[in-house]
Amino acid sequence: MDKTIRILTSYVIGLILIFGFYVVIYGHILPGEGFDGGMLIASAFILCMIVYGRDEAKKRVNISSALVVSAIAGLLLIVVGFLGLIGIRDGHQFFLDNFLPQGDPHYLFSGGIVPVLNVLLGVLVGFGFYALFGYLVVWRGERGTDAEP
Amino acid sequence: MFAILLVSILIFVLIMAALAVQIRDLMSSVMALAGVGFGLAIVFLFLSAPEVMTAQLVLEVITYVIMISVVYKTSKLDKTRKYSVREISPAAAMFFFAVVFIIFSIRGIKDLPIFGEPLMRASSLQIAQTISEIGATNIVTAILLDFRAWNTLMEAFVIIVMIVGVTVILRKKGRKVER
Repeated sequence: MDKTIRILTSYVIGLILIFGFYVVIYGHILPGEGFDGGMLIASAFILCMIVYGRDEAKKRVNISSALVVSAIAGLLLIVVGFLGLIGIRDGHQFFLDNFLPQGDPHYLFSGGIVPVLNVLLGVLVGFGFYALFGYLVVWRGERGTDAEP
Repeated sequence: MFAILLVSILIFVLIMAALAVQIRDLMSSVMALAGVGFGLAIVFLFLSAPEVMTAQLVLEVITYVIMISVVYKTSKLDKTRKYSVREISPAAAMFFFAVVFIIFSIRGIKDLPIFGEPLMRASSLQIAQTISEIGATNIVTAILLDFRAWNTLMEAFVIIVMIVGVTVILRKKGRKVER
């Protein structure tokens, strides 16, 4: 890509990542949610991949391990769901039960398992869409110009 | 008075739409379509939606420029044939099923709640119980991740299945060599 775009991207990517993690972590208090924050994180990675090429982005975050991370986050969602079956709260024994203590509203540690599921969903969507784009893209950067998928 | 004006404009739009289908001269047909579009724009203006009206106007003008240029480049007369006897039976079947559908839909509409009445048996409960039961301030997230967590779980699985499918299709290892 152009030199101007490369330099501007190096400034912008950190801000986009910080905003994505902010939306994910504060999803149960402020507008936004795991899906939206995950898409922000994935868009930062994808911007890096578009500007610097696939080989350059592979050095930062490996694509196949990103897929594994997102799959592990999906498994952890099921694990958190089955933890509700144990019956930590009295009289609430069902799948995806809100078993953690509520905490005070408007604070960061509140809402039971909602922030946990938020973070898991953010990781799943972010790394998953990064892996999806990484498998689909053919732009390999400045040096390798052949378009082999 | 206002309602009469609105209804008359809508009737004009309907007549213009019927004309646009039936007229054989293609340039007149395009003009009738323009009547439909600008009539709808006036309706949008009266219903206090000026933003939609501007979009409608811009789209109409662009569409008619393209249509008129196409008519000038090709033929000016609609040369497709008119209805024959063989097309009567599908049309009759269509009308029959339309009448049946309208009868059933009228019976269904009777059971719907009155227009403007609040119908929030489930969601009013969720709004009332979010802070006391869950503690999350963002009600949308509380509904998505606690009241309807099954739904969100399955959405996440849809995403994972999609990504794994793309990976399997585009993989390099384990693929047979094509001759």
